[in-house]
Amino acid sequence: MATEYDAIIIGGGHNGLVCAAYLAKAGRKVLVLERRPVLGGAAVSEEVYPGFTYTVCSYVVSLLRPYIIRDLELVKHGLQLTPLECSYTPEADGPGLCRWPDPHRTREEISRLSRKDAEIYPEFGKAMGRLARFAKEIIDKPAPDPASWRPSDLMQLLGLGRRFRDLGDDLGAIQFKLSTMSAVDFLDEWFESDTLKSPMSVSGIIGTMLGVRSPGTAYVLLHHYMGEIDGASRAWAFAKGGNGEVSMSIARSAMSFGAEIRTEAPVHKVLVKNGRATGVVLDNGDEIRAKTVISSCDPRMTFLRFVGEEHLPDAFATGIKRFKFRGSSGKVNLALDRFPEFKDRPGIGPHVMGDIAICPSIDYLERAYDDAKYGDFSKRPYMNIVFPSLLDPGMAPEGKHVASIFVQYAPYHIKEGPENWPSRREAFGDAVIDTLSEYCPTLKDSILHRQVLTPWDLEQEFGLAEGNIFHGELSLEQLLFQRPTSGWARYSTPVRNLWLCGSGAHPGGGVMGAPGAMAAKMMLQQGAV
Amino acid sequence: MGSVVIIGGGHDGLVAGARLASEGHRVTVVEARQQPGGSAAGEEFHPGYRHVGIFHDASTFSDEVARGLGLSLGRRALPDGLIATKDRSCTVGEGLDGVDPASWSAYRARIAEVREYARSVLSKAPPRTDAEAPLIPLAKTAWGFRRLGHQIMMELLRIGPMAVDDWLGEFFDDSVLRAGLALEGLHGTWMGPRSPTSTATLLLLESLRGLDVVGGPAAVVRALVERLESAGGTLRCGERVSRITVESGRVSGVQLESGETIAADRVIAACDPRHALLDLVDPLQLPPMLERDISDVRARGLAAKVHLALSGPVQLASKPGIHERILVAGEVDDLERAFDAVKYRQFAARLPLDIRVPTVSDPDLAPPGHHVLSILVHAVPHDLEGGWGDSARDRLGSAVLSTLDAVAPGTSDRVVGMEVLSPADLGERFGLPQGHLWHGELAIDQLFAARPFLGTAQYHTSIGGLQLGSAGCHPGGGFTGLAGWLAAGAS
Repeated sequence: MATEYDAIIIGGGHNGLVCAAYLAKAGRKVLVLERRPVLGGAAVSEEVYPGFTYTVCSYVVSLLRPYIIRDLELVKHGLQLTPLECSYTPEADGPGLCRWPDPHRTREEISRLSRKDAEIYPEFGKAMGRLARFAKEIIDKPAPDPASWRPSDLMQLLGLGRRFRDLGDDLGAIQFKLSTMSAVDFLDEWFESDTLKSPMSVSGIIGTMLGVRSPGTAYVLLHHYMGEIDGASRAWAFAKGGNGEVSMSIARSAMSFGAEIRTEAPVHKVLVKNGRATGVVLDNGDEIRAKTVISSCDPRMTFLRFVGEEHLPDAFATGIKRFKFRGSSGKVNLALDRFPEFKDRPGIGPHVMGDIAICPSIDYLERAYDDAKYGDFSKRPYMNIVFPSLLDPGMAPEGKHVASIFVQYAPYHIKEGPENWPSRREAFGDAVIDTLSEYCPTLKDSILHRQVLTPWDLEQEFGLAEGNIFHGELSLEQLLFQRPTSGWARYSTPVRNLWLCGSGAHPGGGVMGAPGAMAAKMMLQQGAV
Repeated sequence: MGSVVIIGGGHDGLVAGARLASEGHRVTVVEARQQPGGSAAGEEFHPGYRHVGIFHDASTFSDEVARGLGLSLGRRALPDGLIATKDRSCTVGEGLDGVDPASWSAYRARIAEVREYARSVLSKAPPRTDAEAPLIPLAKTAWGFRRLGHQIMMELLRIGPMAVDDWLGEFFDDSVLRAGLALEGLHGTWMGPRSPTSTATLLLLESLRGLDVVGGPAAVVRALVERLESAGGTLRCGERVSRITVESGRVSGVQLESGETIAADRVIAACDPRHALLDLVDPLQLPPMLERDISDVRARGLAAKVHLALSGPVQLASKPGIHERILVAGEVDDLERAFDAVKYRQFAARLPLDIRVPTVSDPDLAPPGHHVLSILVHAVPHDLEGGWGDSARDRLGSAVLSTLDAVAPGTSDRVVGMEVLSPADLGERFGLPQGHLWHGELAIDQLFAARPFLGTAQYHTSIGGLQLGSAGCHPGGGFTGLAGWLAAGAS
């Protein structure tokens, strides 16, 4: 029998580590158990091919909460963020579009597509920036329960209501539309150019089984205006060493506060006695006791695998079973002999020092979605590409490069059945390379190694249910007070002493660390740990 | 009592006119077409054959309005819906067949839980939501919602934003049944069964629905005209309003295309609100932002209408016999694919059909032994690539007939007359710019306090005495009469 801990955290992904660090900082005795040999979960860097480091799954930092960086002293522990320079949307036969941090440059670029759009773009940015401040209020606080009569919930709801009214009628109307409209319908009210709207709309579909014309996708547009990397203008940053270094800096912070972290320690079960979590059993049979068990895994794995339905109230179990995952994306990482230049803007310039989006038109994106709806990967997918080696030369040997390619749609539920993804994996990889080659004709000749991760692989290797990168779809009915299910959005669970701290809890996915931090704060506040 | 002009003699215009005339106002209803009723009117589409309205479902017509106006309408249960494919069918309604009864009652129970609350919200003008809005009506609305109780309220918040197929999937495994149930809820939307928030629009329809009206919308129109005229109101058909006249910020009347002016101290636009505000009012009289707000209203027509005159009854391969309400949507993927085509300005080869056979209950609509098929065709784009010329219309007609022949072989051999109305035709006939029957899509951001747009949902405009009162206003879609009723009641 091992020593007793105040808290065991299942999963050493970024949220598990953030939670551990906050609890350790508060003086609690914390143990993190990670199944894989490396920390980071889906925020992980690995040398898959000798000399080349892949930022295997997630690849940029966008919403990592600034207070977490401060509280956990992440910079001291090695976090180095480089803001992305540009958002580049190449065209197969045309100059494409670059959006820069410098508004004048962006305006010039857009005015080649539409003068009207160029005029409105800054105005749009201003409105969205103000709404983003309103949205931060929501993601930086536990979700209030609209049906609750608790004074604290009512106060929080009233506060939100007041802030909403403070937005004024015009912004209030925009916020209202953002909440339920499709990304395309919403953007149509502002802009006319497809080449501009298409890369803007795409943020609404990342990680969901929805298309840019599906209602409920507009609100994610705000994420782009919530960037706090170095002020308001830049939404995304690259972490030196890849996203694994984000996790490692958090891990180092947690350890500096005294947290204990074990890798290759897969959890088999959560021990539950009389409706109370008392510890965990590892795959090897070891039992570890703790006053509190906190899971950073997704709700399905946490409740249906580790806990077991027999320990759950019926309504709650139904809610968890209904929670939709439906992973829709894959990842391709490439080791490259040389830089694959883009046809329309050759050379290694600032335009490739950011993210590159392959989404030439709204119809292109919608057709990619249509393929997925009927159980196939997109023949011509949406891709978001970053060349980490341009932002951190240490990621590849000198003169060589790595490419990180996020690909959508790759639906978990293919018509052959998800377990048959391995036999489709290379065809999927080929579709990605073929599509990208239309923009970078020399790409194929420069590939030294390619790693293709299908949603099936994301599930098997990284424990993401159905390959959903956010631990559950970020659809309207799975947000806020309904994440992961009605009435249980404040990190506690019907099993006493069992808590959630992963992306399956409010406010959801992305490398933001918010669920981990808020769960820790909530537990400390309530004296639960 | 003052004089009121109502622009548009569709069902909402007639309701508003009848209400105000009974209250003693001098009412003139101006209708551009030669007959009243708008798209609810019954018409002879082929010599000897009549239909009962473009939108043929009268089950959503408000009881409150009917009672308030003292209309004598024959009411009856909504005919059972036969959901049919080539080789399979099931029946929903009283004569449930081919559907697991336990799942069906669970489904109906869920609707019943929210129906009463939804009806109470739908039959009142929405509260104002602007920064200066009085707080009490807002608080009342919130209070009513919370009074539903924790469980129902949470459930409503959960299911409302869902794709209708996801929600139906919680009750039913049968994809044919799900497609059939989803189809009716998609009317008036620009969505497919996999579009999030389409559960909300199905719940809206189901909440509005009550007893059917014998004779369909056409019968309601006849009763409304009678009520309007018996109360002393004037109905002027075949006259078109060309301008709403405004003097020092107040409405002073309307001018007709003939040049004639009608003075009024109140004008209710029971036509497309965009037409009223953008075409009929001098732009200088409107606040600058309004033009943008009203132009942003989405009203992409997604329905066509086909009327068939048949020499005999329609015979379904999978379920012989006489059926009055037939839903042909295939499986969910077929319905979704039909919507996919619309995104690329096409229509699918197999189209989702919402069919009524009004001659089953009213044989007088056709010669003896003959039948009328009233077919609302879903997933037909208003902006078809290449435009809606004669050949496109013919292609649409053929697609409908071949879809129909697949489930009811030999139907096309019995066709003695046919009318095909594309969304563009509907638009032209009824003054709907993009052919949308309800002047604005049903979508969460275009309902309730945001219909037609935020700040104008209380039937008033910034011009004194000028009101909006059509399906483009709350509660929107379906054939309810509530918008006209509430506009007339809003003073």
